[in-house]
Amino acid sequence: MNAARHEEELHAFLDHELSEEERARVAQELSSAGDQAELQAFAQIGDLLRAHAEQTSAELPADDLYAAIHERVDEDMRLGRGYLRVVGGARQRRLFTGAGVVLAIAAALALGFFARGTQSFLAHTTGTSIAEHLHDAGDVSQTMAVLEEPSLGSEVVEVDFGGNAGTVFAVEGSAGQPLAVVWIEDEKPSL
Amino acid sequence: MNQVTRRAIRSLVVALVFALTPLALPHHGAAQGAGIRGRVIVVLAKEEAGTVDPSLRSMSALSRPPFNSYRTMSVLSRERLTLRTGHPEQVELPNGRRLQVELQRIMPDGRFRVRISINRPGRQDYLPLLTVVAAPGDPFFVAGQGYSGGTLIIGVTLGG
Repeated sequence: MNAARHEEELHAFLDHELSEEERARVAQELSSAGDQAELQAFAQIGDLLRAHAEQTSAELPADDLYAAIHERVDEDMRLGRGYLRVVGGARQRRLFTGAGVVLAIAAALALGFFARGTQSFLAHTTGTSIAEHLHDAGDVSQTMAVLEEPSLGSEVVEVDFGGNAGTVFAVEGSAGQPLAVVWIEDEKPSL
Repeated sequence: MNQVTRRAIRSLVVALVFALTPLALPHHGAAQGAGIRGRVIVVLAKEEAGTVDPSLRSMSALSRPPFNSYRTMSVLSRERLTLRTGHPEQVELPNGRRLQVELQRIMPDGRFRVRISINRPGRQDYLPLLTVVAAPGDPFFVAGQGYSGGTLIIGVTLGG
């Protein structure tokens, strides 16, 4: 079964649109941990969307909205523009949903790759060289944004000096960031 | 909101979650795979008049108080480490102690959380435990051990 078909069945399963036989078959096929995780994710998001839809729809002036839409459709048809029309039945909606799913996955993957590439670029380039790069491109505002990014420096979270005397402080780094220093005496103090 | 829209949004959210989840774990793969590069520099600092190793000029922190009270600084060793979570690395110090560096984890903001100890083999005679969070390229220092008429300054830098 291809991925789009599989996902379509998951949606139908969650929305109780399958016959008893189909439902039993799909439930049997959803045995892997990955399928169960995907189903659970869809269900949780579905619950959130349903709750949000119920909340927002209760606040909407539904009658006014419906009347306005009807008026717009009638006007459009009267003028013969054909921008608005009655959409098809469930089969057509499913086709659009499938296309939407494929587009959504493609967009998400593209966004993921783009963001990952950007992160990698930032991780392997110093702030100065990014600033120079942007400056060369003539984008002063972006250059300023990069230069304002503070360096996080280093800090001590936990220290055990054992039996020695010691102290923790910070010195300033080249960009003004705090750099942790642990100063610990070498020998136990004589009693 | 009709069913078609709900399905499209549901699909979009799930796809985004699956696509962007790896970004929430920055460098995790690097920590488990190729590892995180680390550098350890051991400097012998003395108060007596002398020269400061020119290679230390890039570590501006060493020219600030209290380090600037030392007028002589020489580099005793430089070590390169490759750190992976749960795999401590050791560096021999000139005074016979061992510096142990262990990468604990990579923080959500990209900083490294590392555990340090400095002791003689089989003993806990100096620094039993030190936990530091450091940004890539930003060093931290452990200083104070007496050696050869001076003081050891150990600088540890991860990533960067």
